[in-house]
Amino acid sequence: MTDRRVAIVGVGYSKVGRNSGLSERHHAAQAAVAALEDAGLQASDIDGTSTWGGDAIDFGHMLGMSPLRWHLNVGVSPAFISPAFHAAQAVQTGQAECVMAFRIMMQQPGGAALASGAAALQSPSAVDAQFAFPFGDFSPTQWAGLMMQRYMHDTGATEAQFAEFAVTQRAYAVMNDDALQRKPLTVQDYLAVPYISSPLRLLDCDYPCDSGSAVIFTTEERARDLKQKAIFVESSALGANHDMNFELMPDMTRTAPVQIGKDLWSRTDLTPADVDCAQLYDGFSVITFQWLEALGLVEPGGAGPFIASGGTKLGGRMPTNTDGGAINVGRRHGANFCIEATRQLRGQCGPRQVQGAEVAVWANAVGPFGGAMLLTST
Amino acid sequence: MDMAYTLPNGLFRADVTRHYQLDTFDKFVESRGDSAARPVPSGPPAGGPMDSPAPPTPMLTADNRFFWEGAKEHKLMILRCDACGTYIHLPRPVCRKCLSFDLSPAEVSGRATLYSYTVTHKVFHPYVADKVPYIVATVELVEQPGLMLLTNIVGLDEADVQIGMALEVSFQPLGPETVLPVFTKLGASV
Repeated sequence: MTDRRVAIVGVGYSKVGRNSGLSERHHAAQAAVAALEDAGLQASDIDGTSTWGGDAIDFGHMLGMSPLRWHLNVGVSPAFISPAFHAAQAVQTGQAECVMAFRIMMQQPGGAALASGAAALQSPSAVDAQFAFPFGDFSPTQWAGLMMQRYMHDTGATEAQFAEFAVTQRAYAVMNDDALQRKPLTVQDYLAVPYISSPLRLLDCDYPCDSGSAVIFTTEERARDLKQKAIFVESSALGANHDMNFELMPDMTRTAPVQIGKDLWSRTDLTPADVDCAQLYDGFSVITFQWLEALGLVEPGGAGPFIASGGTKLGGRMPTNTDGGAINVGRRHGANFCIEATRQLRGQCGPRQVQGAEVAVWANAVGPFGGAMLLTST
Repeated sequence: MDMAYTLPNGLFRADVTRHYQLDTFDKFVESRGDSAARPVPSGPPAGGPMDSPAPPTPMLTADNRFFWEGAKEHKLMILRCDACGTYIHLPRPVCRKCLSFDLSPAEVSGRATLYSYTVTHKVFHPYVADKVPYIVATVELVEQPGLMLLTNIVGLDEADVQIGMALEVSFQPLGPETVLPVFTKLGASV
């Protein structure tokens, strides 16, 4: 058994966009090439692949990463933290030397394209959906509405605070050339947008797009010779406390991230006070609120006032989602937060750089499941 | 978040969501003059003519038949462990508490408290086009702490809906073959 220190040495995106016209493999290949170039590695240096979306073995073969010594196709699991977490574990335990973790996220086709297909109960989630859609519950936005409503009830968070969150995230996106939404936003803009499923509004939702993301993990020793400053995995945690029926969680405010936060901090000598910036999943805005509290970055119930008082802005106590978040950079299922945390610790973020950032935390998913990873630059 | 749920007619739940979300996003983005997005083809989702959309009725299986057949008789039925008495919802083949495989449907009181609710404004399915806004709710049945049920709140204005309020079951038809157990304010049921 080995127990090696793990570093992130390369990150990359595909040409992310709305209805890009590129295949899943194309996005994977573009992201992989970008990550290899970022790291100064060749495809033949990669001996392990993991992904949520597409097939890690297929991607490895397509890119000439052969033979692979380790591979993982992730199914129902927190979308990017899971392939990333396991990639880091594979390097740490000596299963592989250099692992590329992918998240390939294809925008779904429009309704007219979905007319065909025989009725079928193909999966456990389909079985469970028989208890949801007869009640008009069709969309993740609806469990998010339930979660947000209960969160507001439990903590006193207000719509104005959610508006401030959207405004703050957009202000970061304005400083990010990679963002898809870059026009400055006001509180009034947010409040003028109709409800999807109240209290959830459109600007509480991530932005659907085609995206490919790739991150390369290797050993500290190997990282020394590479192009970029190595960013180290200090601690990580995964967790789950319920099946995927978000609507039936008996506690929608203190969800899986609470335990994940405890586990994350139990595996390091660092504390929440050491964190310089946070990159916290925002598939729906209330998720970031939950992570701020679960990771101990603000007190329980304190995320709303903290955000409204500028705490998550550049120059605030805890700059958060400094790339603009998935609401603005597009749905990349947490991979953007791993990549942004890495770039912040390298000092590559230009106008949105958190000065002197040495410790960053990123987190993914919420509710029944999730995961978090603490990164350091030293 | 993106979750793949399969709906009847082979639709994925996420697909339905995406369609509407995309459409809305694009309209919003266009209205603001942002250039990053381009329009996607829009139109009604699959599921039949818009003038007579079929309701989203459940597909009956060996595991859920008791619930829907009970509802037709105006009974709220929840699976219960024969060995230890724990209620299990959604239906599962095994008891989460004692791992017994002996579970039977049991009628419950139909009393509950409101845990959370959301007022859905967006039309995610043709059937609800003339029914929005409507209230989707998570209620906690009085029989057991944490025994949650997804349902609708009916007979109340949004302003009168309060988290923690006492509720009771009521039964509403959904098409000719299905009855929905929905909830309303305790004492208001007919």
